[in-house]
Amino acid sequence: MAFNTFSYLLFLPVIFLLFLICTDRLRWLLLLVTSFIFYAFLLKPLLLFVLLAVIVISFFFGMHIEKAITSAERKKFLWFGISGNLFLLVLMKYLPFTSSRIIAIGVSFYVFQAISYLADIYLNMAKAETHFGYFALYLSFFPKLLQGPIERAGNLLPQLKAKYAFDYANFRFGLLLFAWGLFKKVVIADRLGVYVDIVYNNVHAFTGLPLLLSTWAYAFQMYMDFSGYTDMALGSARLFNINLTQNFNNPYMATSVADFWRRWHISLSRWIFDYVFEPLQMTFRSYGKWGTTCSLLATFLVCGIWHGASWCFVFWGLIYGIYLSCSVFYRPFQKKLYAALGIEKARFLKYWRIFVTFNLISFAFVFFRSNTLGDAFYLITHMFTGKKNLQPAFAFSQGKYELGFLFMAALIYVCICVLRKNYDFLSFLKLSPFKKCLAVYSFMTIILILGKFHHTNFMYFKF
Amino acid sequence: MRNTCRLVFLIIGFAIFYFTVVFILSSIQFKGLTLLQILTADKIGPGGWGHSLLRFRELQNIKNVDILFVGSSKAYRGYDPRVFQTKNYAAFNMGSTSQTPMNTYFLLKQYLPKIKPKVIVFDLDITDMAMDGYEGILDLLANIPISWELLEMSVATGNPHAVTNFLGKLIRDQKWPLASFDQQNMKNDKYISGGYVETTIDSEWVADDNIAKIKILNNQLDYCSKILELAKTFNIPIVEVIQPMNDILLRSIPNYKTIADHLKNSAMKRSVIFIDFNNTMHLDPFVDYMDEFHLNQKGVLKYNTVLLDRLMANKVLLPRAVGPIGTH
Amino acid sequence: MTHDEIKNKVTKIFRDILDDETIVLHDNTTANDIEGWDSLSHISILYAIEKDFNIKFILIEVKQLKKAGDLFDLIKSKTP
Repeated sequence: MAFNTFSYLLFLPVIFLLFLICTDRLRWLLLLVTSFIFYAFLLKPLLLFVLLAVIVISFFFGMHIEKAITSAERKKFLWFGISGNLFLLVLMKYLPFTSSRIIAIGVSFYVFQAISYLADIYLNMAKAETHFGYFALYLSFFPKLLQGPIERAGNLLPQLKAKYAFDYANFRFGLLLFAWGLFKKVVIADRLGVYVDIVYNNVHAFTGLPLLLSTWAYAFQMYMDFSGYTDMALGSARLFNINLTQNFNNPYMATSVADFWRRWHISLSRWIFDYVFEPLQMTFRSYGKWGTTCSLLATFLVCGIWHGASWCFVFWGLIYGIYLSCSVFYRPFQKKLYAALGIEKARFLKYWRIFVTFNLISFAFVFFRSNTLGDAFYLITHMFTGKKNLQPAFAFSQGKYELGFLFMAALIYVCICVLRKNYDFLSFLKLSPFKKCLAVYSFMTIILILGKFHHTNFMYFKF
Repeated sequence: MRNTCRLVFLIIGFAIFYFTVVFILSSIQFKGLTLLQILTADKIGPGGWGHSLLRFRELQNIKNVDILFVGSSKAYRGYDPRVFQTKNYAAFNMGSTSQTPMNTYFLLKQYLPKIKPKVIVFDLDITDMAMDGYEGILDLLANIPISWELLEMSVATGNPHAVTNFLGKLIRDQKWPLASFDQQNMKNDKYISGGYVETTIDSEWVADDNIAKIKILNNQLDYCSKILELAKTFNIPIVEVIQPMNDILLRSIPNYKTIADHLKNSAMKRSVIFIDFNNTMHLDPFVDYMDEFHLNQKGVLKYNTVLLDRLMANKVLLPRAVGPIGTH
Repeated sequence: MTHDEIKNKVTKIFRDILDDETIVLHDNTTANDIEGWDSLSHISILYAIEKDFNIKFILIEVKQLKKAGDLFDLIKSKTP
């Protein structure tokens, strides 16, 4: 079930209450059963089998990698484990027979997580888990089951095993973080989606400004949607005293594409860097910059394909491969240029770089969002052409009031961000009970009135 | 114990706060819509698109209905009472914009005791059944009086906006009563007594070739069954029909056959007559339709004539002496 | 080779590769402390070290490196 539904809002408190009254020894079992029930709500029994298969394969091979004596044996078990997992992923997502019948929600995430587990054991960065129950929970833990974050064994397993003691600060923080994520998703992302869909589902009806504006809008929609989901996941997990990895760090403040990938979908980018890029780079290290280039192209190809079996995603990935490959070559010259102009520390340079990076990202998003490659090429060739009239406003005038609403939602978001920055969570807690109550009531009212509850699913659901 | 009291107190406090905000926002109107409607992106005001204002006003005073049509815009644009009048049947069209089976169920619950039709014709719109009924309820919230069933419908959509807008309506209708509104004139549409909307558009439209598999919501299927059971409780025969769809629309729904078969089996299980006119009728996409979804007047006349004959052939409607209008 | 000799040699390599004469390395220095030392340049730096010290790293070893001090110790373990 999606986080922004009534069912989840009922499900979470019920599970939490059961968790509180459960004995500590069996809490892992409660969470494990809950996670499978949560997955079962998708009404696709096949997915439950896939999850179970991934758990069993990874548990089994994880133990064998660790017990193996020779390095060749370790490698063998590693590759068997990875192959088994990848086979399931390919079967569910990329073969026309299965992928057209079932949307394999969650599979990409927990398969990658399982592979990271096996690789970490092989690289001596983690120990194989001997308790099947905890291991199963590590892969299936419901807050992160459907859309990540992709958790490392070293981070999540110890937390799952730790003794639980109710922590009011964590409980409160978890709920507020959840509410914040909900706001981002239903008030900002879904509203933005209305405009984006109008243009992107019918691109040939538009030229010029609407194409550009809806692409920028999509960049924000995607960020709000996915970071909103992440906040809801992290908030839910926090109730159980579990700290999941943060997936975002102000991505649109990135000053370069490389910087962007350190701030966007961090658990995935760390995965592809640790398990694809770095090993490839090590292999090709004697080829210098060209070796790095090949590694980058391959890595981002994987990143693109992971998102889905479509040429649009492949293109999207390749674009980033090209961006980063170019940067490998031009970075030294860029540095020299800034030094020569004496502007390396200039403030405006930082903002200029942010602006350029944001546009590079938005350009790539054209491919990510477009329904077909044809649409994407149409978009980029018609974005700056077309009649210079107020037709661009058409995309927003479908509902004139909606534009006004959107500015208001953006304003509220900015206000809350500023408030959070200047008056952090702790000072919020120091407010009088009445003021705190009022603030929370207002926030919930804003979500209920300005939010979009109609027919939406998280965008990363389909990856 | 103390914490439970605190929690209850907090929830009640929120309800009061929320209602106050809704009250304030519903008391400010701007270009025919309240501020609440603008913020929740509910763009439908009284007397707007769909002619539901006139339709449900007429329904308040109706004396006799032989055939009641229910469904979405396909229904209110698809069944011309004048055709049925030729065989002396008083037909009424209770379709409304985006009316899904969920909306239909609560409408029937409210109006069947009042109207007591001899037959219900339930127009199945499969593209509609992929929706949750929220859009359907907006038309009704704007145009029909407050009722308990309307509240039930709002809650049943599972969408907080539906309940919020219902609360808003409570306040709005006090300040700006429904009776004070007039039906707006819709270009190309003419309201015909009996709930029907006749279009003057022949076929000035462009085909939109989007292929999409329709996923019918399970709860809409449940409501289809509930409607059949409701009709049974009132002892009113009900017939399910799928009107002849535009070829272009049909082609764009790859799983049409599966859905139609499912609906048919569901009807047969309850011994309800189910007629899919797509198996027996074929109308011209550009001559008989005003757009992808709706028949134009030419198409309506053709379809209604065939439907009337089928209903009489199936003995759903018994022949009546055709005399001067008003002789029965 | 002593720890300090290794440190000096590695610092020189960092300065060359990252084109920054101001770089100073301590045992606790991490990638966050040095501008330009990121995943893109990391392996180039390691390769240059391999060439200079005539040693070879393997992936498992590279993965264990958390700070500069670890790198110095690794090099020391591989050099006579």
